[in-house]
Amino acid sequence: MKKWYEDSLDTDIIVSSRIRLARNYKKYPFAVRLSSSEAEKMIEETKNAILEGNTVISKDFQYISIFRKPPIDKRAMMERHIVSPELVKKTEPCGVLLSNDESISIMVNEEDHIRIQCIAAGKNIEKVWDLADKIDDILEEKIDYAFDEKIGYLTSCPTNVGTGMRASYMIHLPALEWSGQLQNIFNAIGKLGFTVRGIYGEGTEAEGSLYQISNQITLGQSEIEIIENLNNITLQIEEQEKQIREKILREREAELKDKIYRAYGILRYARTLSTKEAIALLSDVKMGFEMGILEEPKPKISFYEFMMYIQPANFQKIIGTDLNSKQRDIKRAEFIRERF
Amino acid sequence: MLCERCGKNIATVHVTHINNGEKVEMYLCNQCAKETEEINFDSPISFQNFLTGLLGMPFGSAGQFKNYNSRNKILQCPTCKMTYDEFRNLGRFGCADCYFAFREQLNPIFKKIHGDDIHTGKLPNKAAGELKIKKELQNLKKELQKAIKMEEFERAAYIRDKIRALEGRQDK
Repeated sequence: MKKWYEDSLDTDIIVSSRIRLARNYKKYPFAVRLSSSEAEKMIEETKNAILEGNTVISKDFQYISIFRKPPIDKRAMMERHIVSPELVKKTEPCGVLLSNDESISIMVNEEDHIRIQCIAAGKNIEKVWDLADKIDDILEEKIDYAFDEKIGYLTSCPTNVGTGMRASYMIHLPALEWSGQLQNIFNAIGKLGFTVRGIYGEGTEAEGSLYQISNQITLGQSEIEIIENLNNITLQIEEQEKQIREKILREREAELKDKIYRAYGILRYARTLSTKEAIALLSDVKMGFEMGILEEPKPKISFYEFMMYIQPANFQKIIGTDLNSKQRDIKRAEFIRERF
Repeated sequence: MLCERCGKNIATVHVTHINNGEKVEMYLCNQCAKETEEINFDSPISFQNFLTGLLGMPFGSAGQFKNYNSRNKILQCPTCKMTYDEFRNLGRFGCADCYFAFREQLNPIFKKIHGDDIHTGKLPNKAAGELKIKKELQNLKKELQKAIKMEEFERAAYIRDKIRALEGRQDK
């Protein structure tokens, strides 16, 4: 079955849309107080709620136990955003219910008992919210959630209480990054209750000029209000990115074209490429195609797919783990060349 | 997540260093972070630091930490035995009942974090029908105020009719 990112059209500044819902059982203590045996029971119940039910979705899911997996497998799943860095670090029982196309993952025993996560390519946040909402309803048929009529869904951390929802867009902002204006924008949206992070969440660096914009506030606003606000802010950032791209094209055309064609040339002909270098160049090429500057044939797979395959752990899964880093760089260049 | 060095406290500092060309990442608590010399304190302050800082801020009439209830007993969740102090250090609740045990302390915290302390979003389907109506009424009344403020009187009248209809259902 095709993964969700294998379908992405890849012509957009907005790369993907994601919704995360945090939920907890009423009857079990939260993560910091949950014993291993309670965790096992809680995981079993959650698995059953999805896999055993006569629901339409039960056949689409499989359960993957995370804490016993080899580190490389865990890391590969984290790179593909199936699980969070926090889940990967856990030493207590934990796992993930994953849909076949990897667009829905339900993490079990992360910071909260249940974290429903739905993701889709492009600007599709409403669709993704609908999906997360439905999965939540299916789980709720079997599970009594910790919920309070005044303060909503009760979560392990007070920053998630209320809707328990984090809505986010992954956006590609090479021109804003180049212009040095990103920090101003980030400061401004911080005041509006939104935050920007690297693509692997808290404290991670941006790679390939990709950023994640998400809501901070989860209490006092409905899911729809949060999504509307996120849309509003993200569209404005998208517009600014477009304007700066045009401005750079007007004022520094030769420099911009040179940068993009060099990136294309290196990806197409280089014999060794590190992950970091490859991602930076792929980012330039993506922008080049979107701006209509590059008139070369498009690579066979999308920018985001490249991102997924060439991350360290995922790439080792493809080429094997017995190679050293220099040999991997050679293989990486080959992998990219074959698709350019 | 617990500190990877001592395994006791919640990790609040994320440390990255390069070891023979390999990137090594660690999550440590404050204590261990201070004790480990290699750590570069130029790294940005973590979210967790901000949160526990916020939770530790003095509030209440006397401007003191309210670790005690009105009868001067230590504030503690009756179900999971987490004390308010412990919650403040961890930044995490021990169970759903902590929310009720620390309710008085929490409302100002919610206001600080979210700017609000009332949930207006999704309700579980299992929540009784009456609760749903009550919540919807709250939301509609909020919307009505907004409409009046914006002088959208036609919309206001429409919302008012919806409120009346709902109130009618509630009385039955």
